[in-house]
Amino acid sequence: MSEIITGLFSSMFALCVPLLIAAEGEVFVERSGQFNMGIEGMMVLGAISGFAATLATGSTLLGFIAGGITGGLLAIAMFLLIYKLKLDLLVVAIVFNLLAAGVTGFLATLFINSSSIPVKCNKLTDLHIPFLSDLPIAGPILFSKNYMVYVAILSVPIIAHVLYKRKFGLELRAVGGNASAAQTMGIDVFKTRMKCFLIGGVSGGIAGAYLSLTLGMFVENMTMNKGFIALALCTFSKGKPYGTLAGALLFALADSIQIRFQPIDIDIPYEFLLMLPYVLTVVVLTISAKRSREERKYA
Amino acid sequence: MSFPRLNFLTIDRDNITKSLFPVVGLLLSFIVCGAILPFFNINPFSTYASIFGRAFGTMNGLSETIGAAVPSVIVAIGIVFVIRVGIFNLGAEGQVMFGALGAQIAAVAFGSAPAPVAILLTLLGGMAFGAFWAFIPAILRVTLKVNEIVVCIMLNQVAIYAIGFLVRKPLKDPNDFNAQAVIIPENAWMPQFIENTKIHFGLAIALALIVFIAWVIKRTVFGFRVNVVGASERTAVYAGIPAWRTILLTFVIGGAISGIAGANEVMGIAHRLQATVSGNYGWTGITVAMIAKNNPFMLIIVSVLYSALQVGGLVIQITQHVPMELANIVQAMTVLFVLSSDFLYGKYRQRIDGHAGQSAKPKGELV
Repeated sequence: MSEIITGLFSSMFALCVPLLIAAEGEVFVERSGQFNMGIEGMMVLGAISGFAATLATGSTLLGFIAGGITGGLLAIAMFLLIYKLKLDLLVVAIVFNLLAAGVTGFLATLFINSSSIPVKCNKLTDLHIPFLSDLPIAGPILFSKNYMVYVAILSVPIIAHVLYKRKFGLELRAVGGNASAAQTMGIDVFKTRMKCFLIGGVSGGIAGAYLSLTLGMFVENMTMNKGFIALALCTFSKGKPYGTLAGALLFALADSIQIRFQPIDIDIPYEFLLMLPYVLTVVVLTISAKRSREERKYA
Repeated sequence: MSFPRLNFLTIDRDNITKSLFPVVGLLLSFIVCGAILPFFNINPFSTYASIFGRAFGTMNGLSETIGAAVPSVIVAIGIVFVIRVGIFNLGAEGQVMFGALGAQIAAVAFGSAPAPVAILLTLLGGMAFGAFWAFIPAILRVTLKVNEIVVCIMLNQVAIYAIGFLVRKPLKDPNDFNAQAVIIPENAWMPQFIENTKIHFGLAIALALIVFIAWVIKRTVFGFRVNVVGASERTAVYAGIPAWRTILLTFVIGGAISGIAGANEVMGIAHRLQATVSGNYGWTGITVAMIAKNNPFMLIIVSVLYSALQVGGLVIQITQHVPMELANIVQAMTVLFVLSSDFLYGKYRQRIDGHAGQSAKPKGELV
C-alpha cells in the first residue's frame, strides 16, 4: 500500500511539470488582461522542436531552449496578428492550434514515423543526489527527479516575487486591471502585453518540450489538450502563482492515479480513467465559478 | 451601432469583392505551401494534381468529396448560427460524436419501423444527444459564467474516450473482430440519390438546413433576439429579451445541428458507430464557418473544396508519400489569409472612400 502511495506522489511531481510551466507562463498572460488560447499549439510545436533539437545535439537543455524559442516565435506571430491586424483572438488561436497540429503531423509522418523503428532521442534522466535520494519515502518522492522538476517548482517563488514585488509585475498587473489608466500612468500597454504574451509562449513551448523529452520520443497529438487544462488551472487559481502550483499538483495526482491504475485489471474501464483529468477540469471550473460568484455577492 | 447581418442575397460591391477572398486565400495558401514543399523533396505540382484528380476526377472520388462535404456543411451552419449569439461553439467535434451515438441507439431501437419513420426517429436521436452534449457548456456558461471554450474542449476529449469505450464494450458487434457497433437496420439508412455512391439524402438535409437557419435568423422573432443578444447582452436585457435563455437555446440548437452531422455519418456512410465516426468534421466545420462567415453559398463552396483536400490528402499519402496533414496545413493557412485580406481590404477602402466601409467589425460578431 505504502509503495502505491509513494509511487503516486513520486509520479505526481514528475507529471505536474508540463502543466505547471504552461500555467505559470499563462499567469503573466492572464494578469496582463489577456487570454492565450493558442497555448495548445505552442505546446505541440514545442514538443516536436524540443525533440528535434535533442535528437540533433544530444542535449536536453538545448531541447528545452529550442522548444522555448519555437513557442516564443509563435506567440509573437499571434500577438502581432491580434493587435496589428486586429484579428479576433479566439479565431487566431484556433487557426494556430490547427496549423500546429497539421505541421507537427506533417513533419512526424515525414521524418519520425517513416521507418518502423521508433526514432528516439536522449531522455531526461532522474538525478541521483547523494544521501537525499536514498531516504526511505522522501527520497523517491522528492529527491530523485529530473532537473526540470526542480526548475519548475523553484521558479514559482521567483514568479511570485516578480509579479508582486518587481516593477514589471506591478506594471503588468496595472495593465490587466485597467489598461487605459495604466497608459495614463505612462506604461507602454502594447509592450507590456507583448512581453507577457511572449513569456506565455516561451513557457508553453518549454512545457511541450518536456512532454517529448520525458518520453524520449515524439508522438503525434501528444499534448492531448493539456494546454487547455493549464488555461483552466490559471483561470480557477485567478492567476495566483501558488494557487496555480497547488492546482497543477492536484491535476498531476489525478493523472498519476490514471496511469497507475490503467494496467491493473480493475472493474473500471481504462477510458474512464483517461477521462479523469478532463472531467476534473470541468468540475473544478464549475466549483471555482460558483465560489467567485459568492465572493462577489459579499464584496 | 451596427447590427450583425446575414448577408443572404444582399449584393453590393463589398460583398462581391469579399466573397472572392476565400478563393484567393485558398490559392495563396496553395502557393505558399507549394513554395515550401520542394524543401522536403516533394513536387508540389504532381501533389496538387493528384489531390484534385482524386477529389474531382473520378465518379468515385467525387462521391467521396460530396459525402465528406455534407457533414462539414452541417457543422458549419450550426457554428454560424451560434456565433450570432456571441458564442464560439468549439465543442462541435464532441457533439458530432454524441450525435452519432444517439443515432446508433435510436436506429437500433426503432429500426423495425417503416423507413421514413425510422429515419426521422434516428435523426431525432442524433439531435437529442448532440443537444445534450452542448447543454453542459451552455448551462454552465449562462448560470455560472464558466468559460465555455475550455469546457467544450474538455468535453471533446471526454467524448472521444466515451465513444471509444462504448464501441469497445457495451455496443460492440459481437461478430466483429474490430471495435465497432452493430450495423443499424436498413430502414434507418439514408436513401442514396445515386446508387453505390456517398451522395445520399444527407445532402438534401444540409441544403434544407441552410435555408431554414437563414430563415430563422432573418425572419423570426427568435432570430431577431439572437442577433440582439449577440450584439449586446446588456441591450437585450434592457429591451426585455431574456438573454440567458436565448444563449442557452441557441447553443443547444447548435449542438443539435452538430448532432445531425454525426447521425448523417452513421445513417449515410458507415451504417454503424465507430470510434473514428467524427472524421474531424467538427474542426473542418469550424474552419469552414470562419472563412465563409455568413455567406451560405460560400459555405457550400468552401466545404466542397476542404473536403476535396481531405479526400485527396488520403491519396497523396499512399501514392506519393506526402503526409496527408498537408491538407490541414493548407486549410488553416487559408483562414489566416482570408481574415488578413479582410483587414487589408478594409484599410484599402478606407483610403479610397475615406470611410471604413464594412471593415469595422460589427460588435458581437466574433469572426
